[in-house]
Order: sequence, then structure tokens, then C-alpha cells
Amino acid sequence: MADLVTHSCVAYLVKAIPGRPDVATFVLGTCLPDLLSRVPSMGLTALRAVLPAVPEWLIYVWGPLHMPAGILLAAYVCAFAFPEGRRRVVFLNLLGGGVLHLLVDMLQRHFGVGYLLLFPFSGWDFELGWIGSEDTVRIVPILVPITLGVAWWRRRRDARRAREAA
Amino acid sequence: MSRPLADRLFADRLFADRGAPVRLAVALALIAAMGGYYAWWAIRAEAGWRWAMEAPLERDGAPMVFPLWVVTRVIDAEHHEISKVVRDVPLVGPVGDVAVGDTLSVQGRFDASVPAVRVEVFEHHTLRKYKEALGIFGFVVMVALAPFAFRIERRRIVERG
Repeated sequence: MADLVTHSCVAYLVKAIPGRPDVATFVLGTCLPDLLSRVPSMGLTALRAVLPAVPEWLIYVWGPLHMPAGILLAAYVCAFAFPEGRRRVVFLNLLGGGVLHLLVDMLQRHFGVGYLLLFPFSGWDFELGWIGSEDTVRIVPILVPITLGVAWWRRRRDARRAREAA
Repeated sequence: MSRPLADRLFADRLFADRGAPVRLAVALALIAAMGGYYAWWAIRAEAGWRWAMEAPLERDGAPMVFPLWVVTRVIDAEHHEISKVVRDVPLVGPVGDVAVGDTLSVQGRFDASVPAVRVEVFEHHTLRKYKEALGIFGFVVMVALAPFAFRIERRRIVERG
């Protein structure tokens, strides 16, 4: 997985540059796979080091929420936290963000198993392997200023359009 | 003008309040079932070391992969221990200049005579700590910015702006 800063910046740029709406929901969607899967899994792994009573299955049970089928279901469930009239748009943005998350993650290479894209129907795994698993750390110092620059440009453009409309 | 059938089904049925508890229960049950199946599958896959230790002589030379494991003991330049869900797996062979707490990915073979994993290929993830720090930083920033992007209204999340 890439880090949350990289995921958030990429999602923001994908939505903000063409001036598409629902940026925040899309960014939330791109963070959900890590928040629902990696965070509890890593937290429990760390906890198990000091508290061996933590069962092993509890560490792995979150895994599917970082896979297409799990992302689809998680987006559906999370959409119900929003008002009824907005749910379809929210669902599509959460799902789109999740798909973008997987696309960014698939750029990486790992030892062993890659990303299980067809789970639970198949154990086939895939990754493009174009960058190392920590290379996003080197990209962040470039990506964050670009994202902040685009955010500033978008605010100015929106303010100008609002003035023109008035 | 009436909307297309697929649109009405998708928007009105799938996301309506009416019948939502049943649909949510089904979705959560599917997530739980997938989680259980994955845990069963992953424990079998991750159990390489334990599997080898159950019958060391039979499994001598078995290939093993340890992606992103943490160094928990440095004995000397050629002997280390790594941990993840399984604790203190012994490695034999050079893995570079590592310290306790560093992250390694290792590919090797089970050597029943030691018993240990004889390292064939390794990667020392020197930037792993920075990546983890970025992950935590990203999470904190996201939580801090969430109230600017969303608000709670009648027990529902509403996007601002």
C-alpha cells in the first residue's frame, strides 16, 4: 500500500484538476481501504507483540476490505451514513476513490503475494511492480506542493466564477 | 420524462431507507463471510515457518517468503530473527546492515539442520519508518480536516460546500 498522504493527494488531483464535484467524498473513498483494512490489521499486529492473546484470525479478517469486492460492499454500507437522496452519488465516489486506491497500490512491487483482485472467487494476484513499496515516500515532497498549488488555484477559480455569477 | 429502469432500480431500490436494515445486514454478513474466509486462507499461507517446523525433515528445502517482516534480534552479521504474526523466525545468511526494528522482505529456503530459513534474496526497507510516519500524518490530517469537509445533520453525514 502507498501511504495515506500519497493516496489523498492523487485522489484530490484526479477530481480537482478537471473541476469535478464531490472531492471530499472521493478522497474519503480513496482512504477507506487503508482505514478499514490496514489500520486495524497493523494495530492488532502491534498489540499482539505485547498481548499474545490477540487471536491471529482477528489480524487477517480485515483483509478483504482492501480488495475490490470488499471495497464495493464497504462503499455501499458507508453510503448509508449519508442522506437518502445523496447515497448513489456518495456510493459512486467512495467506490471510485477505492478503485483509484487499488490502481495506485498496484504500481508497487512486493515479495510474495500481490493484490488479490478477484477474491473471494480466485486467489489470483496481480501488481504492476513499477515502483518499490516505499518509493511513494520520495514522491510525497513533490506531490504535496503540487496538491496545495492546485487547491489554491481551484479556490481562486471558484471565487472568480462566483463573482462573475453574482 | 421517466428515468430509465436501471437508474430507478439502482437509485431508488438499492439506496432507499425502505428495506435498508435488511440490505445492510446482507452487506455486512457478506463482508464478515469474506473476512472469515480470508483469515482462514491467510493463516494457511502465512504459516510457512510453523508448517515447516511440524515436520522439519520432510520439509527441508521448502521455499519461503516473508514480505515486510520486522527484525526482532540481531545475533551477528549472518544470524537474525524476524517477526510478524509468527514470532522470532531465525534467518541464516547476510541481510545487510540491519538493526532491531528494521523491516525486511526475505525469500529463502527452510534448512532443517539448523533449523532456520537460509536467505536467498532480501530487501531492506530503509524508508519503511518514514512511510509509516506519513501514514499516521495522513490519518491525523484527514481527521483534522474532516469537519471542514463534512458535517452531521439529523444523524447523517452531509458534505459541506
